[in-house]
Amino acid sequence: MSLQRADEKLKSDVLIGVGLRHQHFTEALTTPSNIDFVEVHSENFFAQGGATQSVLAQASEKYAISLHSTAMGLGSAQGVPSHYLQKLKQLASTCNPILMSDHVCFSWSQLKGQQVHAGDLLPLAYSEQTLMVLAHNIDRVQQSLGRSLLVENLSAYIQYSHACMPETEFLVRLAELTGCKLLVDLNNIIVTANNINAAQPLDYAQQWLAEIPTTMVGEIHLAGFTEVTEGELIIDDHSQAVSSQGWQLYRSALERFGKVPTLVEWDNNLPSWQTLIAEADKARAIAEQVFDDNASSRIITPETTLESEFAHE
Amino acid sequence: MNNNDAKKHSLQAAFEQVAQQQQRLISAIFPSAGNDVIDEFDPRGMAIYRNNLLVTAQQALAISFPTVLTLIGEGLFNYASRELLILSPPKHGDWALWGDNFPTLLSGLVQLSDYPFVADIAQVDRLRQQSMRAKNSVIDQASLQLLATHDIDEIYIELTTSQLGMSSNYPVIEFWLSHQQRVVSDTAEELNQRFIKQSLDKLAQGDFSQKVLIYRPYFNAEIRELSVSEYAWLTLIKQGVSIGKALDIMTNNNKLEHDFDFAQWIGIALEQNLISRLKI
Repeated sequence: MSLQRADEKLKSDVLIGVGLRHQHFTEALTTPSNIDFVEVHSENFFAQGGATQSVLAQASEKYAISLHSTAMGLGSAQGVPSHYLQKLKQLASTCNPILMSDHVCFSWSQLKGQQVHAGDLLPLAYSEQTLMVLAHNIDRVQQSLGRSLLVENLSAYIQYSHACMPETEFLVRLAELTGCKLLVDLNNIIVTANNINAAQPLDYAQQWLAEIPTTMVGEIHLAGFTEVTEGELIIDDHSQAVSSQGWQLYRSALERFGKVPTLVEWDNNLPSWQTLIAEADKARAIAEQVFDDNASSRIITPETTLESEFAHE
Repeated sequence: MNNNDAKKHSLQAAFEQVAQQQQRLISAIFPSAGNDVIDEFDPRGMAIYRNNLLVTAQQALAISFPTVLTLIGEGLFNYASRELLILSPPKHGDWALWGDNFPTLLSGLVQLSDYPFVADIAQVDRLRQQSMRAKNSVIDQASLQLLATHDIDEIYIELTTSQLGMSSNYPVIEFWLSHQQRVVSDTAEELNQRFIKQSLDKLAQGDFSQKVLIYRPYFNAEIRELSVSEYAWLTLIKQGVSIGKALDIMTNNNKLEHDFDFAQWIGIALEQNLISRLKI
């Protein structure tokens, strides 16, 4: 599918999408909806053949596709293995995604002298050394894919004592070094704020957004989490509707970053497809409210955010 | 040292330092006889990472080995998942590819020493997953013309990558089929009982052996029994023996019943999507 054909399906200024999961395949492919794109987890479509390949082909006929990887482990000192990159590249060539993303984390390492994949998004220490490793790996991946990546902020459950810069500074420097854009996951900021016992989680999150340059954000993720009792850490389980704090923060993010493609993620305790679409409709309604009053807002499209800015060294 | 060398040295040093930090964290998360305790981290956070790993591993194996889960139950299945993380940690970045060593691990579990067939059932599950992920294949119809234009001694068969075979000393097909009824009903129960009775009848035979074919006509992988002669035939074809030569070898093998009919087989093979193409 060509990029041009994908764009013809995009329905509004602020591109609104949802995560497409296995349980929703049939409805997503057969029910009309006004969403602009669907995000799939790349690794779920790494098989050489079979039913998933067929689903992806059908989905890409109906929606623009965003490839969101969860296993690239961009911050791994072990590097991103060529066999992984090859599969990702192959997948991208078959579905022509409008966006490609992964996380600021590591996954590959060594265990008892053998290569291992953590199967999780493990946090990075925000240090000069880690920044060098991450930037080097992202550069290699972008060169291999021939396009720019979006990298997502993580919700971490541990903090490194030897971190030497705040998360936002780390991300901004990373984007400057590599030419990648940021995928700002608003839920992750809220989860982290709660887990580090920020006095006012929403204020913490607003400040976090204020520290990111306005041109650096290429996508926004929205999600919800399960509430916990005092003293417990919140797990970023994507199991609930977007929280009221999440919606407030979304409004602020649009006001600051412009018309950024937005995705609603819901991975566990999945609702019906219609409920998920209703969450996307809420996002669209907020975007319309924000930009109705600001006709001259910057419009961020996948081309302007990604393709034209692949100019890193 | 010039500027470029200094940069390279500094990058290498960064990689080495970060690699050590990351290996420490990985060692503390993966299950082992005794997890390292890293004091700098919140134990609640470490518990989340450890639990995430176990739960994800269990879910991944449950998708790849659904029949084993039904057979042995969640408790033992989850225990075996943890053991597999220790024995054979994931290394592909794709959970669907993890579990090649699960059948072997199951064969060594003392809890299953009275149920030695479970490991072979795991192998059936594994091959089915492998088949369902294999490259899609449609027969190259034009290549069938070779049968009309060339001697069969010169023609070779390329099989699809979605067809896979195995051999077992247990009636794994009947055992496997008896655990596929997801809906409990009288009919399903009757069907299960019939498969179980067939399994027991076959087990009662001395020196029982079953040859199994997993194949994928479309998206779903199917399973069927192979006769000894068809198993021998497929083995020869996979070894790269021509059609004519393979038929000669089978005719001259006194241990095989001479019941293999190539014309009949090719019809079935096309129907079951076993052949990718013929070639010379």
